[in-house]
Amino acid sequence: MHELGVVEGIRRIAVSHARSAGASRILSVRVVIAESSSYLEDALTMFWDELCGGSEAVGARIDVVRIPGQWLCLCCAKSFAAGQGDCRCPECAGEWVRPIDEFECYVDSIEVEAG
Amino acid sequence: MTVKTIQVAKSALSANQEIAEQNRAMLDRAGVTAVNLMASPGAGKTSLIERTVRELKGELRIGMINSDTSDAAMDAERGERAGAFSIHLNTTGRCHLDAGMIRDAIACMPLEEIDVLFIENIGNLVCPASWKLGTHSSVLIASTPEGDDKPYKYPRMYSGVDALVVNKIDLLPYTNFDLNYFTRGVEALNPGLSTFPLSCRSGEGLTRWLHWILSMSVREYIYGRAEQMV
Repeated sequence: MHELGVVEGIRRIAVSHARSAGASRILSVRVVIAESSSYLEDALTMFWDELCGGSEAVGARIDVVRIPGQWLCLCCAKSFAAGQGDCRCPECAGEWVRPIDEFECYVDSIEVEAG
Repeated sequence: MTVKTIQVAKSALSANQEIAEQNRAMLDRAGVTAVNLMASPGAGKTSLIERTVRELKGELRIGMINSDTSDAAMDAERGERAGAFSIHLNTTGRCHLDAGMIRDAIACMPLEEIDVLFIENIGNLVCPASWKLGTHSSVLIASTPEGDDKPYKYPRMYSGVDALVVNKIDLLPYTNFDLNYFTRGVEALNPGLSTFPLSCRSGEGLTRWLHWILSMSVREYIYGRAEQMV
């Protein structure tokens, strides 16, 4: 259910960037989700089709790509890509790490019909 | 037809983040310290607020935004009876609060008459972790009957909070809750996390929690005033 708010955010970002570029239609939206996040690809796709009616995004495809996600080491302040099952910092072996919210789910790019 | 790719690289929650920052600015201007209380259903969010309000009566003026997925406002009424200025927020089925809901809720509150605002999130250990509200701190309430494995099952929630309350410690003798196993899980995710084992029912361990709330309120008030003077 929490994907609904996320999809609304994705749609707003896509429409605003398409308008700024003077595009008439959005063909596809590439969304990146971190493995550590709780967002489900199926739910994103389902809400996407429901929410895009009446906007430049109607009929657009949503392509979801999963990545390991970025973590921040609070010991040495370096960010790193999360590994499988091991959350320690590869730089200093620090165990005080946190996922970086900005990389949990973001709009990477959009494909638009120009003019 | 000309097809063009536009690079965006923007968080899907960026709009929520912007509203959260506006909420924070509004709370700071009013001198209100806000706490986002998260937990599973039945862990004791309302009980903790109720008990805190009663114990700190005369020390702090406390406000409460209680959220539930329906119109059932009994928790807000409990807060009100204890002495908090309380409002009930119906998320109409949504599994978490977002910054926009809090913006609308605090617009209905007499912020100048409130020192500490408790925001009782929806009972859920997954979704609320991702949505910033603009509060000064996030507190997670665990409770002994839930089991000691929750840090291992919900790492995102445990790694993102500023303090942890372990409620219902009076029930420890009647459960299989292994405090050491639980603490090891928490420590791996959030080393040095301020933790308050307590019982809202018996009052055991409550004093440290009350001191923490009082000191945070004073600290945020001083920081807020100092920033406004700069």
